[in-house]
Amino acid sequence: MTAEQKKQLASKVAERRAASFAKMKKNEAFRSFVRRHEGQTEPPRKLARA
Amino acid sequence: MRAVAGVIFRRNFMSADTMAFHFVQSDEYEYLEDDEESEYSVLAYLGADPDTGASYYASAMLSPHGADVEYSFSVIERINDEERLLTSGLETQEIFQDQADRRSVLRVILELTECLLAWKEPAAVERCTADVVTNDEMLAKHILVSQIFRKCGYNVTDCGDWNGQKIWRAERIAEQG
Repeated sequence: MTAEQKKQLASKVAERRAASFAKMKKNEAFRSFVRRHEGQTEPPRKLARA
Repeated sequence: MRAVAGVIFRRNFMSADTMAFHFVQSDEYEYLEDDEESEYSVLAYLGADPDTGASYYASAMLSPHGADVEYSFSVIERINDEERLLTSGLETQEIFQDQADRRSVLRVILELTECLLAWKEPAAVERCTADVVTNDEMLAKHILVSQIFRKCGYNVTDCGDWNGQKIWRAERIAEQG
């Protein structure tokens, strides 16, 4: 990997990750997942067998 | 979109006077795909801090970088319907102060990484650290990530650094049975 390639990869890493995260946040599956688990501090209880 | 139902759950209990974060690991991972943007990630729930109302999640991601693919991992903090991306270990060590929690979070990130590579099987992947790496402790988690890449059939090359940010390139060399 050349020095220029390394610069391209490393110098804008924060901006790229922020841009990817902004897109991820709009994903409905992401929104559903974070809401579903939000605030959990205990493992879900297993359903008792009938 | 695929999701794996949770089966095994673990929790690390901490004394309330030392830590507020409660680690709750499940094996319910969410696979997020954005074919239009060629971005793919696997998401897991990590736990919550009842004192602050914050919930935490981990993500391993593949995203395009020019003609190449870049891998990254991160922690996501959610408070009051607002999410914040944490890519720096310097930030997360303030949240996960307990060593057992940090180990648990790292274990989840490694599992997500393995799931992501097995799912997408990218031919070549580049990655770099968000932080300037100044000591072996900061480097340790990245060495473990390299081991996951090797386990998944990749040849990992240490490309050195750019102004202290470490860089690796991984090329897929073997089919996984």
